[in-house]
This record gives sequence, structure tokens and C-alpha cells, in this order.
Amino acid sequence: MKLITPSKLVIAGAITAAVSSVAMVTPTLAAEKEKCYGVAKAGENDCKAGAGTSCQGTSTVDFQGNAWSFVPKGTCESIKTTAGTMGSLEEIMMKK
Amino acid sequence: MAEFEKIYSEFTHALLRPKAALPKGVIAPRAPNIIKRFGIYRNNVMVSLIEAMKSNFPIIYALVGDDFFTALAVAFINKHPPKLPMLFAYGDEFAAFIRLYSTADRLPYLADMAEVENLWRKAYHAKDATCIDISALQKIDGEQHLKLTFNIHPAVFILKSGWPIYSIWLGHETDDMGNVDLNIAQNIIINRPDVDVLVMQLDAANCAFFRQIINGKNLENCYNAAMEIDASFDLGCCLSQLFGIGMITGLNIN
Repeated sequence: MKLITPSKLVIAGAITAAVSSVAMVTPTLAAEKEKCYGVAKAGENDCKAGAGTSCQGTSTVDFQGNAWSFVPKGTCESIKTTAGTMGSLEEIMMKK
Repeated sequence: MAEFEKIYSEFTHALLRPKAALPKGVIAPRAPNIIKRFGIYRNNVMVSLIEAMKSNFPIIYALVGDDFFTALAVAFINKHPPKLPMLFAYGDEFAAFIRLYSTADRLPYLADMAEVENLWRKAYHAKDATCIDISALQKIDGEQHLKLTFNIHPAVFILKSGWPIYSIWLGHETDDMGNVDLNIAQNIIINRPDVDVLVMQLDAANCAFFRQIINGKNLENCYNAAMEIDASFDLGCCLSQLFGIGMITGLNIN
């Protein structure tokens, strides 16, 4: 004996609806683009040390420091919390 | 051969450790100071790896700025030196590393953002595949609909987060961080059906549906998983999206 589950009816209807919307959906993907093989995202495959690095007065390899001892100075400062500015750890953790 | 491996292992060990002794076998016939000469090489290796990390994680770099990022990258590079000679593949463990780096971090969303960038990079370099059209569903007999499973494009990745990862990503794409609310949790789906990597937001029900699809579950299971989360889940719309963003490369009956 075959049972027709509610989900079967819904799925059949959804597939019909989805397929009928095909004309709307396909054109976005139809436009083929030419792929340039071997072209990496900028900088990814380069030796990045660059000119002058060897002569830097300070050696990067000797760089010591716990990242968390630095104050993050970037776009994170512009993220608004309910407190209005970049929240302190406690504020953010409490909300999580 | 054993001797070469010993030299090689000493050399790579010394590369990332400024206090390590000069590795055996390093010579510089015309250099007045061989230790200094090796130091230059060592410094260049570290600078290259830091730059590779900056290239691979531009949003993390933008979020925290140069000092913070450099300190984080140096600590990461020491713990996880590259395993492959391809720098574009470097940084897989960065998200996990950030998560463990400090249990009381100031930017708790940072690890998830590193994972967003990691998945973006994986999608960018994933194998190409040909997507199929939604009209393929028409050829499936109605009796078989519940048993449908899908072959997924190799560049598809989903990330569920407790943080507004999509808004933060979009903020950096559009150079406008004004709309980020840290109280919001977001999920994303990433794909590269053709040349460009797509990043889209997924609500909880769609996220559950897509995750089941990716795990190879049949349409009935996927549908039920989504309905459990949101009874107003729209399967037709979700299927259009599934095919519309080029996620599907084949259909099976299971």
C-alpha cells in the first residue's frame, strides 16, 4: 500500500512552481565568461618580500608580540554595538 | 639521502626561529658575515608569508589593522608553517588558530570571518564543473521526487555563524560598515559556478535545507529539516535558488 505523505504533495507542487520559473532564473548563468587559466588573484603567487626588504632596519622574523596586546585599529572600530562604538569584550560576550 | 633530510629539516627549523643556530651546510663564500646573510634570507621568508596571509585574508587585515594582523600572522606562521609550496593555499588553519589564540578575545567574530575568507579562497580555486538547469527536474518522475539527491558543485561551501558574517563581508565589499549589527547571527553560502565567487546570505531554514543537500540527503529529508526550523519554508523558491546559483551538477534517485 502506498501512502501519499503531505510532504510529497508539497514537493511535487514546489517542483512544478520552481520549474515554471525557469525562464526567470537561467539567463543569469547563461552568459558564459572566459576563464583565464593560470591567472592568480593579485599577489597570491608572487614572492612578496619585494625590493628593499632585505635592507629593512628591523627584522620581521624577530617580531615578538601577542596580537591581543595591540589595540585593533581597523574597520572593526566602525562596527556599531548597542553601546554605540566597538564594544568591550564583556559587552560582546554577554550578548552572545 | 638521510643526510640530506637532516640538513633540510634543520634548515626549515631555523628559518622560522630567529634564535636557532645557523643550520649545517649553509655557506656563503663571499659574504663577510654568514649569520647576517642567513638572517636576511630568514627575514624574507617571514615577510613573504606575512604578505601571503594579508593577500589571503584581506578582511581580517582590514578589520584589525597592520600591527594586530602582523602579530597574529607571525604567531600563526610559527605554529603552522606552510605545508604546500603554493601560497594561495596557505592559511587553512587560521580560523581555528584565531579561535584558540585567546579564549577572551576582543573580536569574537574574527575567527568566523577568517573562515569566510578561507572558504571564499577554496571556492575561488575549486575545480570547475558544469551546472545543470532546473528544467532537469521536469524529467524526474513524480513518484521519485522524495528520493531525489543532488550532485553539488565543488565550489559550494556553507558557513553557519553566531555573528553577522554576511553584513561584515558586505561592509568590506561596499566599503560601508554602517549596517553591521553584532546582535544578529547570519549564515552564508559561497559558490563559484563560473568565474566569479558568489557570497549570499542564507536564513536558518534554507541553511538547514542546503546543508542536508550537501550531505547527500534526499529531498524529503532536506525538506523536513527545513520545515522543522520554519514551517513557512518555501521549497519552490529554495529550489529555484539552488539551481539559480549554479549549485547543482547532477541529479540522482536514492
